[in-house]
Amino acid sequence: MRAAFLFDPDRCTACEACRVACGIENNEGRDTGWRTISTFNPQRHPALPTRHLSLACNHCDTPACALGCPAAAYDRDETTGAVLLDPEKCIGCRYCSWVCPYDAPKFDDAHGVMTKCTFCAPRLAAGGQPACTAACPSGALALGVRESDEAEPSYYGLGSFGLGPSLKIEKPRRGGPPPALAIDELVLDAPSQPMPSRKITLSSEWALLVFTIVMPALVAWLGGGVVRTPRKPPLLVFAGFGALAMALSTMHLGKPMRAWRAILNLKSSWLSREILFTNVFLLLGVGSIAVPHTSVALGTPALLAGIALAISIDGVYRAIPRLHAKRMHSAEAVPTVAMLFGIVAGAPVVTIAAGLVKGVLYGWRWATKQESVPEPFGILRAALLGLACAPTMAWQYAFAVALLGEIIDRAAFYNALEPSSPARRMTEEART
Amino acid sequence: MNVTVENNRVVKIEGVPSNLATPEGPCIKGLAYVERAHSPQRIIRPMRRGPDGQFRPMAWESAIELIASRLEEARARLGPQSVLYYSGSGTKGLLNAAGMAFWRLFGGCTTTYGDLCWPAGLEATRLTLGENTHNAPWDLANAKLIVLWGKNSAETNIHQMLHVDRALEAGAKLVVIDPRRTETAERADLLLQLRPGTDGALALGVGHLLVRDGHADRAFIDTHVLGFDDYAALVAEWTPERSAEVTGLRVEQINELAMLFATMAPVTVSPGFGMQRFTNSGQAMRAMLALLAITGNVGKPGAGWSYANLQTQVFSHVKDPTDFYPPETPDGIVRVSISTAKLGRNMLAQQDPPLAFAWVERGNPIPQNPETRVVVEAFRRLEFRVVVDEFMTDTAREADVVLPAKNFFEQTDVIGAYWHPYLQIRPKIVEPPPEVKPETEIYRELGRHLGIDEEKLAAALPGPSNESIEAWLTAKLEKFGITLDQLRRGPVLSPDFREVAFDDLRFATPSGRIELRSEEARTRWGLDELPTFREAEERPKRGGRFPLHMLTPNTKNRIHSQFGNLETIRRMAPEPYVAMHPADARSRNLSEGDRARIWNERGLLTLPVRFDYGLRPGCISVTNGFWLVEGGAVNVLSMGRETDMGYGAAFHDNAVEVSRA
Repeated sequence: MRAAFLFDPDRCTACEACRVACGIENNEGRDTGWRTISTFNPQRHPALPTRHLSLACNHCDTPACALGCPAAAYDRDETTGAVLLDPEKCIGCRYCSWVCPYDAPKFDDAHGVMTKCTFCAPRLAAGGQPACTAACPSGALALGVRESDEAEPSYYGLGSFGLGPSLKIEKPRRGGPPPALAIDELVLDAPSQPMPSRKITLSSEWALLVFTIVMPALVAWLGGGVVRTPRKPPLLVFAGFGALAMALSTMHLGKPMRAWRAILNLKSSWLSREILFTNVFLLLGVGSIAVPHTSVALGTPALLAGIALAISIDGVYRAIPRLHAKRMHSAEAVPTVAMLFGIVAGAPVVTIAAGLVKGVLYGWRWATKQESVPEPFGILRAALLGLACAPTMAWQYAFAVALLGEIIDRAAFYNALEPSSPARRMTEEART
Repeated sequence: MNVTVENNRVVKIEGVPSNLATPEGPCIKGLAYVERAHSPQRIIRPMRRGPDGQFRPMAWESAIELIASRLEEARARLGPQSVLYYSGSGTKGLLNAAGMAFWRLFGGCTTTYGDLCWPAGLEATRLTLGENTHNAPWDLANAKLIVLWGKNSAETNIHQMLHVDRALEAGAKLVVIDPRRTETAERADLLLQLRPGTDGALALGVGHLLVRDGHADRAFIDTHVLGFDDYAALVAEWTPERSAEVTGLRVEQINELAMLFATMAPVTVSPGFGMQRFTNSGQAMRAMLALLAITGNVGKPGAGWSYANLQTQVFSHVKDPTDFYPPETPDGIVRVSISTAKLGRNMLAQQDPPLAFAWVERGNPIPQNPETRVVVEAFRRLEFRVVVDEFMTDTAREADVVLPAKNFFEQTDVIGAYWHPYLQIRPKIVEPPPEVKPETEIYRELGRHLGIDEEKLAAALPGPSNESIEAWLTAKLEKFGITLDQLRRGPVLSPDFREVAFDDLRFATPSGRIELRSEEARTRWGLDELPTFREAEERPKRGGRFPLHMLTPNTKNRIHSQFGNLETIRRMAPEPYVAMHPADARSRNLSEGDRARIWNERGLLTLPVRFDYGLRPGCISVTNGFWLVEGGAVNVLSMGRETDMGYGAAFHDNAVEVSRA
């Protein structure tokens, strides 16, 4: 049995007293942003009911935030069951806000760390209830208990995430809109409210774009150099780009000085693994280039670490809940490494196989109109992919051509990357 | 509410479960007082407007001296009635009475009659039931049919929703009658989106069906209702077809509502304030009351008319609405000659003497009274203006001197309510900022400067200390056997409290019965004795210049023009917008987010458009309370016009056109 938020959609009027009360309790009256009220069908389209959801952190049994956090900044308070974030440990990477399907952790710009609902643990521990449930004027939000095997709530904006949220939602008395016959049926289109603004954009995440392009390229180049020693990367180029990628991703953190903490959660965080394998790969890689006669001896483990790195990069992004079913993306790191490796290693079979996988995924995305990239870029990317796979050029040119195509595709990847928050899911549900 | 104070700051506000009407938490306006009490925007010292229009701090001594000299000058030249005393309801405490006590000592003044809020409904209720009282709020849970008629409780009376929900859980039905599909309407079993201002025609149509099909409660009518036969003759003409034609509803919807009235009991009808802000709405409210009377839904648990509960208005002999009517015989001291609804025009029209000076407290008439342009003009024509307020409102910006107002944490007072039946204390728990004085002290100092006898001042106004305020309040409470200590322990039910209003079936009407036919409707208001329907004076006409009906409802985010300046509220409602049905918007080439001009002969608003499929087409909606300086003061479009009874303001008789900006 665990303390849980109880929510009654019939009683919630979206008054936001819960959110205001949270700010009063936890932030000297200023908004914490921890609790948000989302509305399904805010335009009151006649075909649909209008319903609200007041949501903060659900203090899940299997908290996606804590599992994804590379810095082991999350912990569970055993007395209250609250999932708590230690701001002293947080490195401000924001990854928890990407993986939480409830959009619970919020980035605090002023302090460079994440913040989130604490379940008002001190109040709870003292036998009271959280400020939000205590403040609800209509009795829509309350504190209750749930069993550990309780089914996940099914409601607008929620999905089945298998996290065991401490949230119970009453079934509304009526499913449809209020019966109102007054207005002659007008020819109505679907609800047209805009999607809530994006948390991730290409311009906000460009440092990650650089990192996820540079690292696979270095892995492929170094790996190719293991097979064909003369083609191994020059030390300055390898170390320079490696340092650049590391520096950019470190500066991207809210707390760069705590970057070392990023490898503290290898057990469950793909992000932690990504950082660890990056370091191992770069160290071994530099060694294999700098120390004579170690191209294979150090290069091979470096390549293995690099492959693990590529798998970790893809793992980081796979863990993000998406609005639509997750499918493999043509710009993922593993096929990119394979394709580039084939070029450097002079193994056209590998290049063409990886290129085909990418081409098919890309063409399918294009054909099903998922692509949001301007058309000239799309055509260029396809042409570059084809050119890179045609074994007609010197490997250096083929590598450059392929890389340029991957930059465009990876940019498109970030452009389309948006964690699915309850608000976004509600908007999508109302539209369809 | 329970308020926690640390270091002279309000840090927490919580609900009081022992108030059975509001057992859960406060609304967001209540919570927002954590910010409001100490807002950096607050006016904390007297301010004087310079020739450049900028306000600069001034010392209290010079502020009082300046005001006193201007008052003396106006009194000497034109007489005391050249001073307009305009007061709103503020925080509703007993100390509100101090203002008028002072102006009487000054020698008199001119003041307003009527009220912006709810008079047509109050008067309709008074004419029909004799007084404004209703069942305890929590008794609503006993209703089997709840009709929220023009009321959006989910936003404007959120605590009522708990009781509505309890009734619905127990199987009751909810009908919402509103041109808008409001948050409240989301829960409705039947939503009737009638044409604004036709509530009377709907009530008469339902009455027709109830009488025709034999659903009138004859036994109840014979003993307790006056004028049924005349009423029956009136509704005989209101066939559902005619009612549907007028209201824009469908015949089957009117049938359905009548069926619910006929088959469900007990029935509670809870009308809103917005629907009685038309030029025909007093009569409409009477027609709605008649439905309860003829079905015997009065004086029983779960039944009745839940409009205004003045059970706590025990401190004066005359209750609302008659206490804000002009006196039948003027006393020659206080001239009650300005209709609140027509504030601007009546201020300009005053003669013998004309107005020269205005004192405004607890109110913000410029954006909130109808016809803002004329109200502004009337204030600008005056020679001198003093505004007492916590914030730089639109009205304060027009003042020559702005005096800081205390807030309700800074002076002890006793308050009643207009929905729940509790008397409550509001103890002083915070020291005001050093240069903020309560109104009682402002008046005392002004009185001294004006040479008013110290003893008379002391008799009229409580002293500055908390002890003397408490002594003054104790004296007021004495006759009810209630002490301040008792109030400090929690809310106390008013001595006039009755769980079920009219349970003795005695009505303070001339006949002692529920009056469907009211002589006073004719003698006092020149209306038909029966609740007949006529169209509102101003309404959109098909093909006319102003084909859209402008609605200016309240929102959960503010109490009229209050609270919108606070960060707590701005985060939720940063700017005004106009809600339009997409069909009305698209036919004017407007999309979501476009800027639209909303205009009529009185004024113009330019606002972004938001689509609302839940609006009755032909209606647009802008919530009232945004300020002129925010570009959202809706009353630049409304007309200064009285309701058919009660001297209310007919804000919703308002036709406009919208075009692309």
